[in-house]
Amino acid sequence: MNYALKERIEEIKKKLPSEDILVFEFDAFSGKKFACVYADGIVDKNMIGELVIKPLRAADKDATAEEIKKLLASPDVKDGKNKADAIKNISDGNAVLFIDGEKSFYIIGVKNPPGRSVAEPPTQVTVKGPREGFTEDIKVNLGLVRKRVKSDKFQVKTISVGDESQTAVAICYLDGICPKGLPERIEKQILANEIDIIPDSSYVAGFISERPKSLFKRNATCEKPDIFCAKMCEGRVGIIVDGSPIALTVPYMLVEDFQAAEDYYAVSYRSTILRILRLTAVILGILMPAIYVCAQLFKIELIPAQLLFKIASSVAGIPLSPSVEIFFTLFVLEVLNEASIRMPKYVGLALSVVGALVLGDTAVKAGIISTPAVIIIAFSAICLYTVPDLVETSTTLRLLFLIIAGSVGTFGIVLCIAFLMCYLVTEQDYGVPLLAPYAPLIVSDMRDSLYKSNLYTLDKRPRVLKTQNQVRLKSKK
Amino acid sequence: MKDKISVRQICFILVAYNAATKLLLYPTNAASAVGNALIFSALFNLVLQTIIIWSVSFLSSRTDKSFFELLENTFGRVVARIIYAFFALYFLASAVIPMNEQQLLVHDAFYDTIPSLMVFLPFFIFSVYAGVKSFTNVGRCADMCFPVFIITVACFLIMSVAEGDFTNLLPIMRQPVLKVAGMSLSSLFRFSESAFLLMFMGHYKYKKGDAAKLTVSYAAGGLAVIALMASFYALYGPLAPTRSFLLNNISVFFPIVGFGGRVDLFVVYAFDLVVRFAIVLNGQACVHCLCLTFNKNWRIVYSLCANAVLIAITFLANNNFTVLQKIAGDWMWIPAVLFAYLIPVLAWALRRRSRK
Amino acid sequence: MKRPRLKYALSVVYLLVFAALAFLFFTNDFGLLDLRKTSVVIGVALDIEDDDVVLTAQLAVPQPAENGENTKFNVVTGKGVTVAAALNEVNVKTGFYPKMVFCKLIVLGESCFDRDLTELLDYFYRNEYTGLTLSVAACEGKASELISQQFPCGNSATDVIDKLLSSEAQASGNVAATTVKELGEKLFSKSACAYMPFLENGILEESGGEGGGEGGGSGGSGGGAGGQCEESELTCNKCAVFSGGYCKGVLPKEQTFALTLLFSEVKHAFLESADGDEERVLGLRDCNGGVDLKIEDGSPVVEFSFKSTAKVQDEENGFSTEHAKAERVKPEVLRAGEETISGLFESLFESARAMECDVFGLRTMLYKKYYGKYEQYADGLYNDVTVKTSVKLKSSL
Repeated sequence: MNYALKERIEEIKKKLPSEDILVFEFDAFSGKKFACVYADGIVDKNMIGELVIKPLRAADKDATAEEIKKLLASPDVKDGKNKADAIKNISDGNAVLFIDGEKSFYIIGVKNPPGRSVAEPPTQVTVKGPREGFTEDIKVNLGLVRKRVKSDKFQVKTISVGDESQTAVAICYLDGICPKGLPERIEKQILANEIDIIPDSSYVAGFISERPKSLFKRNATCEKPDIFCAKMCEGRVGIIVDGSPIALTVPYMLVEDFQAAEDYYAVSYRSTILRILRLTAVILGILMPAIYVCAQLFKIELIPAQLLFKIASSVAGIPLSPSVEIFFTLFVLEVLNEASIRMPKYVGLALSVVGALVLGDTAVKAGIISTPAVIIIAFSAICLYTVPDLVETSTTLRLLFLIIAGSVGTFGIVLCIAFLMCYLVTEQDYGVPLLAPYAPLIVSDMRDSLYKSNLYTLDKRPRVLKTQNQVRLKSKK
Repeated sequence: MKDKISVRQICFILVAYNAATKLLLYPTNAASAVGNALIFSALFNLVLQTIIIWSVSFLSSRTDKSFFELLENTFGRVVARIIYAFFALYFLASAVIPMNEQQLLVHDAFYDTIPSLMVFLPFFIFSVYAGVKSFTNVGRCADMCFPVFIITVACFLIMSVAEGDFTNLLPIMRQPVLKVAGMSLSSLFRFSESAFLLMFMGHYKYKKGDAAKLTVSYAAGGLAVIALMASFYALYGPLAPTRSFLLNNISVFFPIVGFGGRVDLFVVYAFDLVVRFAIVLNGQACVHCLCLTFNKNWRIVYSLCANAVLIAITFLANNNFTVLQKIAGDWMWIPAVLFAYLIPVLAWALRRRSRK
Repeated sequence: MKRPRLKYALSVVYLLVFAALAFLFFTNDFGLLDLRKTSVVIGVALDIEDDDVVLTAQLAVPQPAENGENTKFNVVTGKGVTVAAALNEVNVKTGFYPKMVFCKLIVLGESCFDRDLTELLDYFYRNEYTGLTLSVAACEGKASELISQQFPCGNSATDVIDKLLSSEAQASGNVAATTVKELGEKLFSKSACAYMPFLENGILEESGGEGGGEGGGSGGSGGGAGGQCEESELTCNKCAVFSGGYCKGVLPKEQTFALTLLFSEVKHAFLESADGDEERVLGLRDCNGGVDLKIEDGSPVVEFSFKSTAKVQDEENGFSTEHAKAERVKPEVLRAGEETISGLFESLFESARAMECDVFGLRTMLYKKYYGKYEQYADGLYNDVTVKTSVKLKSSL
């Protein structure tokens, strides 16, 4: 076999002809030839200079591959296996070192892709409690987790998903706590899919769901390592995807979305009140537009007499029917919402003015929509954002309930709730029912559901998760 | 064990679903027939059915076999299938009256004016969907319905007890015994939960004391009905027969309703949620029976067929409800006695050990 | 192959259901009524003319307003054989279906006194959409005139009467208010007797913008605001008594007061009592009254009981430090008060006996408590019964 440097570089360049794959050839003082191949932009060139090139200048002409490896100053040096391995690592952001005349080559961990630093996540802001959030870098994210869970039970299984992207997906769990076989099941579920690219963890979320078409999401998401670690310690499996700041945890229960990180840092009764408030707000947010339409169209008794006269005065002369009026107002809200997210920030202020004043105030003054309709929709929107993780589902449900209310009336609303209950009780992933601990009722797990008990009573892990080790707190108090 | 349901969930069913279907037209009918003796008529039926419930649940302590397996052991598969086919028909027939009563409630409590029958039809979409569900899911639905039931019944009681004049229930036991007995007999079909318990046999794991739990649960559900009936009569006295439904009339005199609008209707709607699950339990039991009768798990087909029959009956009964009610009052006690009283007792005579 | 086909069929079904719902949502007409096609009836007046029922409905007609505070009140009259027929004529006249769910008042004109009340109000007992919570009152003259009257600007007649019959007014013991349900319960009971407040209407001269009408206790008025409104003064401290469905008479103010002390939840009442030559007003609080029927030694005994605390409000002789320093109400003053109340009860009983009206519900009580003796005593109950009164007033200090 010929291990001439030039030929090996040509082989690599054949596979990776892209111009951002750079080859740096250099000689030692003794005349020994080396080549370092790496992808531009995602490696730290200074590190290559300091840890690879500088020490290798002193290499002897007759030095063996092993001796050369010892000269490398990098702590992250691995033996390369074959050409495919070399190509994968170069794409991954590592540097590959070839030695003229030597079969062996080395992979040097000098990966440094561009990315933001650890910051507070925008969707899970806390007043009390840790503020660090995940970034797009899997290594940083795993570091943030490892920083919090120093136990030897903490295990990470990394797999590559995406034929083209080769995205690293880390399956994290605590051995001896997590239900047996669950990480393997999840791994199998993920690997059962062949896809070109994984741009975000939401792709993986689809893979790990047993019913991906479900109306409700089937895994919890979090942007904060403290929540991620706490859920792992409860017996769940965490999934971190390279390139995504949103980590996933499974199995998932609906009640998780009503639990905020801060609930665990505040006194228990306060947390309970807040959780019930969130639930009430979501129910109100979903049902209020529907009930308003029903009250006007089918059952005016639902409105107290004095309020009825006020509403009747407001809606008198509105050209749209009550249901279409609310639908139209909701439509405007959703458009404004969508536009405010997508629009460049400098237009944002103008949009707020246009949205609030022009569309809201003027439409009411012009008699196109009524004041109560604007109030109802605005309040509904605010209510739904008390549980941001459920917004996608709750807004869909709000529309569904509105259409049913406008067509079938109050009876339809109750029927739809019954339908939804029946649907939800059948939903389960990895053997954990979505509505647990309420359906099926697991009294011991209700200590941390909508009701939040104090820390001393939360001495057991959720029973529904069927963890290997149930005890999580032993107090000598 | 396939298609599991827990004892707790059956208890919830026996409390909530038992009470839910009895609080539609039954209190008004009873008030109309026997006046202030309405609670005694209900009490008689309740005691009778409670004994049967105890009998069936105690039978579960002697065997872990399902009722179908017991029949199969004793009479062979063919007879067991025939009996289950009759049970399927019985459950279907049992759904008719509460379903039509619920339709009337919908007209009363959900709309200010009488809507067309078409508005009620979406109920059957739900009924088909829920009919497909297994006992495991039936149990989980009961888990959800139970707190709703407790809260709503508590609300009804709080909103009515203080406003009622309980001397309206006096004089006690002065109605002719035959009249009260007649009412008990004609409403016997409403107290037939032991048939469901027969179906649940073998699907739950019996532990010591479960028979007592199940019996007490059933009695508690029945007592909740009687308490509300008493409260209803205390509130309206001689006018009780003029009010069609206890549910949307029992709390109208509560002060908050006077100035806050009909907020009590939200409680009625929540209670109606339980009523719906209670009604579709008949459909679910019917589908279960048909699965065993034909030995094929074509749940969706059975559910569609069962609901097609119910839709046909609903169309026929539309505007003829009084006729339907009369037929039920005059004849439904016969199948009720057979399937919910005699067979559960005779089940003790079935062979509990497998044939070799 | 079967499962994907089933799933496909289910998706088609879901899609069709959703399309049907969306169609209904945007077209939205089940022949049902919505708020904009309905006239909301807040009160009705009933009179009898030529054996027909004349129903005058006070309708709330919301006017377009951005802040939603613009409601006009119109009065529309319908005539028919029954209340339902009369209501239908209102529908014909307005084009809007009259919605009764918010109706809070029925006023019966004097012409209704000769008509069987159970027959007249039958519509309200049968109709599920009309609650039994609405108040009922009788009035002198024509009810339609009363409900059509203008009251201090902005206030509808129904609102004014509703205030007069409010629970706050009832707490003073001057109004014997009742609802359709209570009326029905009593009329359909063994006693077959009921009472309702009797409204008296005094039209004052036109006020030229000077506001400030007198409240005047329960005889309160729609006194008030400026403008060119014809001011009316309504009082309702009497009550009309009905037996067997027909009016048997109107109880005077004092007997109405006695009736409310026995049957209403009176919180704070004023009692005029005389002790020798000295007249004073006692304030009664924590009132607790009731009627009980017993069979003692084989004969029926009715006991009127009343307990409350009392405080002297004012005296005829006026204020003096001598009187003011007395901390407790003197026993003789309390005794005088007790005698006054006992006298009121006895006088009420005599009136009931004279009118042959079982306003106390004694026959119902006899039926419920002594069922076996009902047949024996029911007919001559008011003549055979022994009357006992037990009135106890305590000084509030």
